[in-house]
Amino acid sequence: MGTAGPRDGEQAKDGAPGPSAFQTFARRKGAVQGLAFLVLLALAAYLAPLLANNEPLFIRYEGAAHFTAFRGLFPLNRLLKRDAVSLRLMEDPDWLLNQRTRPDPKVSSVLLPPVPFSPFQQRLDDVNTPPSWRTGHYFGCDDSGRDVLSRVLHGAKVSLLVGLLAVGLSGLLGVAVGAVAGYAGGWLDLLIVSRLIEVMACFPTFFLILAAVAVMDPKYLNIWTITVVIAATSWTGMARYARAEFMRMKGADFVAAAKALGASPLRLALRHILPNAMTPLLVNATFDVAGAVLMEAAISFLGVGVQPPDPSWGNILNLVTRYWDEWWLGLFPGAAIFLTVLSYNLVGDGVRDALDPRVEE
Amino acid sequence: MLNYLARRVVLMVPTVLLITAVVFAVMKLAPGNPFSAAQASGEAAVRQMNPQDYQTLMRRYGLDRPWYVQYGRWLGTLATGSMGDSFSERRPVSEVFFNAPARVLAEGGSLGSALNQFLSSKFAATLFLNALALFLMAVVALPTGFHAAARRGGWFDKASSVALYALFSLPNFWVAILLILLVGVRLQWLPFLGMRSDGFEAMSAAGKAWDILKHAALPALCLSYGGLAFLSRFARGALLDVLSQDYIRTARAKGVSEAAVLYRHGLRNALIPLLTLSGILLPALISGSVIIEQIFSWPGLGQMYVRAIYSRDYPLIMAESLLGAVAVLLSNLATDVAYSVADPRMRLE
Repeated sequence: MGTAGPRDGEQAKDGAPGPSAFQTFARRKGAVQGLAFLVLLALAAYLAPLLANNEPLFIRYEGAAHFTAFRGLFPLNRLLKRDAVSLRLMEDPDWLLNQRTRPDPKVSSVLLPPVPFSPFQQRLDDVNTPPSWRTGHYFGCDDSGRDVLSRVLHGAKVSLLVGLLAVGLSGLLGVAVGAVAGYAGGWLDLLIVSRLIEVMACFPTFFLILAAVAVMDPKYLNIWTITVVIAATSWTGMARYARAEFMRMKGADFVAAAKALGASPLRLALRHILPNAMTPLLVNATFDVAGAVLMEAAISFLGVGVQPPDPSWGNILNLVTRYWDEWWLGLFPGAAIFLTVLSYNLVGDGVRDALDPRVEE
Repeated sequence: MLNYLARRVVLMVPTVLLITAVVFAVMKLAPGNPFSAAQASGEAAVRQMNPQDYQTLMRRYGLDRPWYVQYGRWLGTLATGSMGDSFSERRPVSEVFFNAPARVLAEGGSLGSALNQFLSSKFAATLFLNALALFLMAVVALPTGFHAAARRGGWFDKASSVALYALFSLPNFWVAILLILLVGVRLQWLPFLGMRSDGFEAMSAAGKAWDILKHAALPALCLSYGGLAFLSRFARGALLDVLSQDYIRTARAKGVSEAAVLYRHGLRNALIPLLTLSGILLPALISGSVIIEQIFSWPGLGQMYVRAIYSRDYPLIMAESLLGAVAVLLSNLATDVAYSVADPRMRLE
C-alpha cells in the first residue's frame, strides 16, 4: 500500500521499463564524482583525529603501548579520559615532533598522523608560515601558528553536520507544516501558513539569520545553535513544496480509495501521500544542503558563526581579510567550500534526473 | 491600472508588517540582548559594567519593556519616518541611510547640495553597486544564453553550460577574496577597499566617476556572476522554448531567413519570461550585497548591516530588513506590471 503504481510518463515510450533510478544516477559522471567526494569528505571529517593531530596513532611510552589519537574518535572522545601520552602532550605540544632532534629515552617507537599538528596547537615559530613541503605545513599556518590543513580537515565536520542536520530539521518541520496546511487547508492555511511561506519566499533569509545570531551571546554560537537558526529560517521553502504536493494529491483516486477503506488522516498523510510526494522533496532537500553549507560558511566568515578557536571553513577564510598577504588562508578553505557546494549541486541534479520522470535528457 | 497599483500597494502593508514582526520575533527569541552580548564579548569597560548601569541602559533604550510595547514603539518611529535612533550611530536611522537630503533643503541649502548629500549616502552607494551588477549580469548573461540556445549542442553551448554550472556553485565571498588576492594585491591593477581614493575631492568630475568605477569593478563583478549564471541558463531555456513554438515553424516554412527567425521572432518573445526573474534575483543580490560590501569595505547598506550586527543595533537591523523586504516587494510589483505591458495576454486583475 505504501507505494503507488507508475504515474503517467514514468515508463519509456516503447512500453519497456526505462532504466532504474539507480542506473540513471550512476550514468551521470558528475553526480557520481560529487557523491564520491562527499563520502570521502565525510570519512575525512570523522577520521580527522587520526589524520591531523599532534597525538600519535601509536606510541610505546615507558614500556606501554598507547593508541592515543584513536581516543579522539567519536564516541570514544566522550567516554575516555586523557591517557598519559595525551597529558604529556598538553604540557609540551611539540614533545613528539622534536623526537628526531631531542629524543626522549622513554619513547621507544612512535607513529604520528600524516598531518602531525593539532588544529588548536598554536606555535609561535610558525605564525603565518606559507605552504611548504619542507616544514610539513602543506596549507601553511594562520596568524596564531596553527596548521591550516589540520584546521580545514577538522572544519569539515562543521560544514557537513550543519548542512545535513539543518536540512533534516527544516525538512521535518517544513513537511509537517506543509502537510497540515495542504491537507487540511482552511483558515490555518490561508491566514498563517500561506502568508508565512509567501513572506519568507520574497525575503532574503540571510538578513534574518544574521539578525538572529547577532543578538546571541557568543558563548551560545556553536554548530548546534547555528543549525537550529538555519533550519528555523529555511523550513518555509520545504513547506511550500510539501503543501503543493499534498494539495495536489489529496483529491487523487488512490487517496480516496484508502479513505474509503477507513484510513485515518494521519495514516493517509504518512503512508499514502508522503511516499508519493517524496521525489520533489528529496530533490529540493539536496539543493538545500548546498545552501545550508554556504550559509554556515558565510556567517562564520562574518564572525557570527562558529567561534574560534573551533575551526570552520568560514572562520579560517575570515582571517585572510585581515592579512591580505597570506593568500593560503583564502585559497584552501574557500576551495573546500566550493567543492562541497558543487558536489551537493551535482548530486542534486543526479537525484532529480534519477527520480523525476518529467526531466528529459 | 492605477486602481490595480493602489490595491497591490495596500496589500503590501500586511506583508511588510509580517516581515518586520518575524525579524523582531527572531531577535527577541534569540537568547541575549545588545548589552548582555556586549558584556560577553566586548571591551573591558563593558564587561565590568555593574548591574545598576546595565538596568539603566536597558531602560534608556526601552529594552526593559515587554516585547509588544517595544514593537509598538518601533512601529511608531516607522510612522514618523525616522525609523528610530540607531544605538551605535546615535542619530535617526533614516539619516544614516539617506544622509538627510530633505533637511539640507529645509535649512536653505540648494537642490544641488541636497543631491550631493544624497549621492554620498549609504543608500546611494548600495543602489549604484547593485545597479552596476544588474547591468553586468544582463549584458553578459543574455547574449551568452541566447547564443547557446541558437546553436544548441554546439561547442559554445557545452562550454558555457559547464562554466556557468561551476560559477553557480562558487561562493561569492571566496571569489571576492581570490580576486582581491590576484587583481588587487598581486597585480595591483585595481583598488579593492572602499569607494574613493585619497584625494577624491580634488579630482575633476570625470576623474571622480572613473575613480568610483574602478573601485566598483571588483565588487560588482562578484555580485553579478551568481545571478549571471542563473540568468544565462534561464535565457537559454526561454529561447529554446520559444523556438519550439508553432509560429517559429510557420516563419521558417514561409522562408523567413534564419537570422530573422532568431532575432525578430525568437528573441523578442524569449525576453518576456525573463521579466519574472527579478523576483528571484533581487533577494539574492541583496543578500550577496551584505557580504560583498563587507569584504570590499564598500560604504553602503550591506556593510552597515554587518556593523549593525556586530554592535547589536536593533533599530538599524529592523530598518534594513524592512528596506530589503520593501525593495523585493516593489520589484515583484514592477515585474507584474512590466509583464502585462509586454504580454497583452496577461491582464492585471
